[in-house]
Amino acid sequence: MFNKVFVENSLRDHPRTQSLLDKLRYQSVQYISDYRDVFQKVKKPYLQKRNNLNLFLAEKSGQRVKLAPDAYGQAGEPHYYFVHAYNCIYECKYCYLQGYFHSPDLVWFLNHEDIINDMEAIIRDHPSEQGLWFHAGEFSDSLALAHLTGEIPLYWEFFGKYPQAKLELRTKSVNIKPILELPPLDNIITSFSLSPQDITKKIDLKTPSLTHRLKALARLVEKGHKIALHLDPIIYTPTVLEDYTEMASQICDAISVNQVEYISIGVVRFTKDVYHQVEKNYPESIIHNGDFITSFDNKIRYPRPMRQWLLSHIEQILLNKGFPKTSIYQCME
Amino acid sequence: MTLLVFAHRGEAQAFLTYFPWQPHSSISQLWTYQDYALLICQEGLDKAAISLTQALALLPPCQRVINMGIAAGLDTQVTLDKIYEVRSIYRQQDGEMVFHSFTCEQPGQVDLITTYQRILDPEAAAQLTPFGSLIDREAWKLAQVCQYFKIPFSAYKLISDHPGEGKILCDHIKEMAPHYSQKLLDYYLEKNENAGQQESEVTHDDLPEDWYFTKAQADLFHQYRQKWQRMDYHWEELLQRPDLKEMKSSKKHPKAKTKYLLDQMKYACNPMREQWDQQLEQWSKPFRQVNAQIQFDPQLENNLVRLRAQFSCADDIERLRAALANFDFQALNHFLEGKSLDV
Repeated sequence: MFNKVFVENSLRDHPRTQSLLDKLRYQSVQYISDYRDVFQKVKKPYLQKRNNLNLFLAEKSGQRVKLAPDAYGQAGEPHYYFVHAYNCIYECKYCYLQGYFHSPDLVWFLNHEDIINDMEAIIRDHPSEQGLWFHAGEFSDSLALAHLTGEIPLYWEFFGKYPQAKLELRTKSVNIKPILELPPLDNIITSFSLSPQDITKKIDLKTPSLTHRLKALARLVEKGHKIALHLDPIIYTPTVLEDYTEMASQICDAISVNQVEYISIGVVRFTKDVYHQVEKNYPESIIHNGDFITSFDNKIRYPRPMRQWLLSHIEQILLNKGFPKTSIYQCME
Repeated sequence: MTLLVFAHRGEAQAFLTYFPWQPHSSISQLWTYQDYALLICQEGLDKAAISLTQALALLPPCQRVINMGIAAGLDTQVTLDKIYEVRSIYRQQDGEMVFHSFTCEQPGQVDLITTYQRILDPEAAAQLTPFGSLIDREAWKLAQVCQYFKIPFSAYKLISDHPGEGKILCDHIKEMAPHYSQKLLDYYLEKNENAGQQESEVTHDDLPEDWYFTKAQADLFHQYRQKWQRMDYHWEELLQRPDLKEMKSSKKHPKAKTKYLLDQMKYACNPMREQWDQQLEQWSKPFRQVNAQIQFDPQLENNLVRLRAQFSCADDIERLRAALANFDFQALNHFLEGKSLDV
């Protein structure tokens, strides 16, 4: 699976390191003093993730928990994201990671206790009557490799102690076994990013199909776990409304509308750097069929009338299926 | 033209004898034969850059540049006396890795690090192992020059040694040069046969017959045609549409006819676009009729409208006032919210 595994010297004897090295497949292990001596030192082409993927086992120093930007989640409560990994095994053609780290190599931070301590400090500083959110999966898929990395029970235990703090695990995977082994908690929500099947197949390379994702979320619901949906990014195609109508029906066939905690909808968007990477890496992608402009925040987006048209129509599709209006919010718009 | 680049004459010797090259009239280390050229660029980044730039400036347009030669192998992933196709090229200078990298045209198997100085010390070599498996002294700079000239670049490297084996090794490499060069030639001849086949598969873009295209229109046509291909649309069918036939036989200016064709291609990709072009035109027209011009935000991100007008009498002002009074600002806001679009 991995070409090289780089391990920071300080983690050489860490039990998590040993456990991971036993479980993983790789060509060689190299010990280094700091992952930053190698990771991001050179610009490594993104598509080398297909045949030359390295893994770094490291300790996260600096800011481990960060305040999320406006419109990141549902309004009204502060949102934070925590950083326990960089990069992802999937290859979604719009993914901003292809222009973010300048390397597709995976970094797994093993000092989860430090991340948890940082979150605890934020919770303690926060008024107890107001809720707050923590999100995993900003720089990686939070479940795709969780059976290997094994951190889910730690976070479960922590959030069990702080019911006012909510945890969102964002994923495109169907790797729900680590969650099914734990008791449901009201403040932990697994959120699935969904796109119509045809888009998933053409754009979300190496990810599980829509059908499999729907089965996974139905299984979580059946076991009493909370789930949410991200219909993001919406990509315009001539059949976009039909495709989202069909997907909404498929969702409703899998679960009942009131079992979804919230649904975010967002239209495809890129920073300039990422957009250039998408053009370079996937010149044939249907993403480029859209007319893109530089929008209010310097991001590359569809023109505003088109974005609003997509958002309002897809919201209406969801409302027609019975999803409550209060559960739907627009992301990053 | 294909340009083959070697650092040393020893690496190129089998090529120099295999083809009946003619020396280039201006550059002493450059030879040409039919659609091929061979350059000895010398060792080191600066010399390589100057040599290649000079050659590319003087030669007919090159379609690709191939760098061949020996390289040191850094780790056990590479075997001595074996040729590898390079994937990405990194650079080290003054003990630090340079962030910018280049990716070769071919898929490649291993990554190469070009170093400014010779790596003679095994400890210095060990610091490079996280980044690649091979070391050379010129490829990064050659790739950079090719990027400036927009020419695809490839590199094939034969592993001659492991760094840190000293002067004895230099003598050994000199002795082995004829063998290395012959291996590179055999490899190239085999690869070149395949490369030739690939080139013949490339199709050339054609514009529709009997339509006039400016350079900008031709570029747009190719852009839309790519979109159409991705959407499984066939532009040839579009030309059979009655409105297109009518447009083609009309007495309009050829450029205007082609504009209509391009607009139809654009609208097929995005039907909303047709609606908003029509809507904006509908709002603009009354102002043009009174010698004024309104301009909407080109990105359609906000409702800022610019007005430019000329008037030379009181009637002009009255007409402009009437046009402004009829302008429905609420409708513009609705439009920007996507509410007046219907696809």
